[in-house]
Amino acid sequence: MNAHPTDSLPAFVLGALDPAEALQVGMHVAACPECRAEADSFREAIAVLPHAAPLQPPPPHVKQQLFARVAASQAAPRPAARARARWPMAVASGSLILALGFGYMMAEMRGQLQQTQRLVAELQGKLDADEQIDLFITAPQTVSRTLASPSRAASAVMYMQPQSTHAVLVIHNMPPVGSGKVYQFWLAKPGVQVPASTFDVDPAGTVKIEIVAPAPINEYDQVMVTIEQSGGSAKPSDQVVLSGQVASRPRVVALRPRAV
Amino acid sequence: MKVARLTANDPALPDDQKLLARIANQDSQALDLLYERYARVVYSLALRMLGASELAEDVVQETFWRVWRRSASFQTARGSVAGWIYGIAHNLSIDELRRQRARPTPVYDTEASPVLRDLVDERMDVAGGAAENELRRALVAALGEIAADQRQAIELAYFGGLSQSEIADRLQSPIGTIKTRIRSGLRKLREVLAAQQIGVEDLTE
Repeated sequence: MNAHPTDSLPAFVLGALDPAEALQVGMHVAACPECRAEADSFREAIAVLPHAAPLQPPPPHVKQQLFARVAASQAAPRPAARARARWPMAVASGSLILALGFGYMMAEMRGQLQQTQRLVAELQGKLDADEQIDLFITAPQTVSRTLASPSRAASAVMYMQPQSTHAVLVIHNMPPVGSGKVYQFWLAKPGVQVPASTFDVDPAGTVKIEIVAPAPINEYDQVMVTIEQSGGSAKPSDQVVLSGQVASRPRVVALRPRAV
Repeated sequence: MKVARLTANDPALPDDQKLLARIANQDSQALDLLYERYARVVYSLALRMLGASELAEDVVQETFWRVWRRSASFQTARGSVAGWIYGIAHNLSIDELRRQRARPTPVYDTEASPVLRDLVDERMDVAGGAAENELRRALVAALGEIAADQRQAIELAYFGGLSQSEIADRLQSPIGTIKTRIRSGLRKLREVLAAQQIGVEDLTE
């Protein structure tokens, strides 16, 4: 590991580092308990700063809307509830195995424990990935590009940074793509069409994914999302569901759907 | 100076971490209590950063929505619940500021009336209970011990959402100077708060 980025920690917790350094320091802090403790102590100190702003109460409708949203989420089935519903099955299979012998049961329990640990690690990994994506979106110098959805109500925004090969795509209100199919992301510049991530949206029509391109995103002219067969394609189909310009001013239109 | 503690530490009220545990169990009443405790400061922060009440209202709603959905990801060992909530609100506000910056609009145009410098220069008299005023005065005194140019750099970073290089451009100062001001200023802030035993939890009603 490199030397501790001690001098950069105050700017890091303020969110005032440039993206490349923020990423570097963030990776170090994630792995280094000493620097994490130092960063946490600065974070506690700057937590007093909001109290320096003139104090004003939010209007009552904010709370009403929040709690309407909370009530709606409580009424809807939650993924956690579905996960819990599997436990009686696990218990049943456990008692069956008990009849077969103590040794088998121990093996089974170990297996369940490992499975649980894997699940926890998976969830933790997902949470970390979400936080990484949020960090990227809120990083200094991140800019956004809105993608147009010609025939649909979907809203889509791509977040990118100059000279970075990474981008984040956030989509809302898009219908799930349907069985045997997949959404695919494309980047293009004159003469080049690069296939990138394939994905689907969640049942609520939302997705937040990371895009990795072979070259910095800002070197491309245009991006789009098409519907492809499962597994993705090397050339885009003509079912374009989202498209947008990378440059803040439109340049050459480089993406041409394949004729069918 | 040790300042009297306010109601966040009142034994009659459930403390923040207990509220978070209840929120993780889908107890919306606990969220209500946390909202009553922190929504004012969250709104004031967002309003100060964004300058528009509709945007600040969105930040308040989204902040507490995330508290509702992510209460389980809070790590006790890493700091206070208040600091965690303000961190979420601050990130959301910075996100919005950067979205605005992608459009050709001025970003932090309240520089003419900077909040940290005003606090110290005017010894501002704020509405609220006497105890709250006392704590705010303590905060003002703490900020007053940070050199003015360091306070300015921290203010532009924290409330303005500017990076060190953007602050250097804005103030037409060398980047190295700005880095030093931010580093020294935050170290001083941490030191003064520790010396006066002021923490974010003391400032909360």
